[in-house]
Amino acid sequence: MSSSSSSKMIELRSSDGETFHVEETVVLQSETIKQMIDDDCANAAIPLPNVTSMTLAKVIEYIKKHAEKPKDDDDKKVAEEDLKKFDAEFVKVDQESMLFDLVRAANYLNIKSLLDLTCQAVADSIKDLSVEEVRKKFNIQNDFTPEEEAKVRKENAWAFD
Amino acid sequence: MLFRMMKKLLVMMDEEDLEHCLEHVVSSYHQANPGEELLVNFGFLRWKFWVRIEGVIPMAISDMSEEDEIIFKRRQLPSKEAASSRVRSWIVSDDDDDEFITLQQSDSVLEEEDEEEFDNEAAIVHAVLTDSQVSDCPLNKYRTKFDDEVEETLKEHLPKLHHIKELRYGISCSRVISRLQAKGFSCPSNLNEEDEDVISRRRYLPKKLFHLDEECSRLSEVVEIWWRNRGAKNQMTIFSSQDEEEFGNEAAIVHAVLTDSEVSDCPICPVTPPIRVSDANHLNENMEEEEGEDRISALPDCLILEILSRLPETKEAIKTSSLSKRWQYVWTSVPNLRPGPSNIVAF
Repeated sequence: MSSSSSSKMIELRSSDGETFHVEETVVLQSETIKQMIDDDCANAAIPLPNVTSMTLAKVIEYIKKHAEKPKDDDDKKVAEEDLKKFDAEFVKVDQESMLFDLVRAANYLNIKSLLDLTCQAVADSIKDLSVEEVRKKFNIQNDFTPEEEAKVRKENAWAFD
Repeated sequence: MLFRMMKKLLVMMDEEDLEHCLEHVVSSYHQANPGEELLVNFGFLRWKFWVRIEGVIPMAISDMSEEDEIIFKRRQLPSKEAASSRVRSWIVSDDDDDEFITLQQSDSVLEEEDEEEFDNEAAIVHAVLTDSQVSDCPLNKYRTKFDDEVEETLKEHLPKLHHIKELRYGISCSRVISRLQAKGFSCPSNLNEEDEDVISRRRYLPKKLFHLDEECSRLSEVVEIWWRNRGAKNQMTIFSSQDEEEFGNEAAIVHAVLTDSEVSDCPICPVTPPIRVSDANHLNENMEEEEGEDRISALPDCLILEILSRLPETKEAIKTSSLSKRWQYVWTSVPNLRPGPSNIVAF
């Protein structure tokens, strides 16, 4: 494993009151928490009122994996491949809502790579769909009148070729 | 001293007109205020132009460094070029108006980064208000309709604006001013004491840009006032186009604060507008509609933008404009939009 056993543990508390203990070196990937630690606000459990325990567990799984450091250069290549696979699997969530929870959590915790990963995953799931398909996929209520919608499409007509 | 109006004019005009306009404004200013220093603030690109004409028209530019900093700050807002597109889509939606053609021609000028400095905020605040369910916000609604009204007001007040230190207009106002200017109307030189109140709040905003926390509470103030008055028939007079800029500035600041401080899960709406009974009913209706839970539309704009900016093609992002009203303008704030070459004009 990456970090030494002597690493300080940080306690995180999810919105539903569950606590998680994570090594400081791991949790530093979150800029938000890093800031709190730097500001010396992390002596007690850090409350994360915007993140549920389910989401937080996922996030911790992610940052733990990404905290692993390869021993040498050979190992590095393997690790990179491994990480890519992990990322690809990571965003294959059962429920779409989890993906959005992760997007929000990544944003709130300010974990850039996770935000990249999750937003890219959402973008990938949209990119080949028609407008109607996107609406259906995400339950987006079309609140345009037909006239309004036609107007919007006309304004941006070149995009709808 | 700041001649705010100039900024707007600069955005709207081409260089030759600018030069004439500047000369005119400056000479009438110096006539009216002999010996007084006039500072004209420009956006960054116009700044170059400014340096060029500086030899022709002597003006002091002593406070410029402070303003520059502000400009830089705003540049870093996520919606960067996007504001241009957003402002343009407002303009495009005004297609019943004769002004449309003129504005469309000056499109390229609006594309300038200068424009961002002024209207970016308006774009952001539009998003803010939309997000906060204050969706019939005045910004894009009452722009052209009231040009005539604004023109009348300006005709009446401008000649009195004699000792004004700072004068700021929303974009509609500046349009009207251009119109007035075209009719040979002279630039403001006097401000009646009684009129000062009307613009005093707006006047001091830019200087306070650095006191960010203070500005945050101001946004709530402004939005609340607007919210309280939104049912009233005099809504437009309370929040006419002139208020755009005030709304805009404050929202931009709030946005910047929250983005900077990275507590950005819900970055753009620090305000919970008071809900009235009739609105509460309306909200319930909305809730019912959300049976299938639309998680993606519920994301704050900044996160939707993160997603849209990762679409392989700009037009994919633009297509989302027709998903629903929530999505209509979001794409215009995508930070890495790459519009076609015809939309890019080098300055």
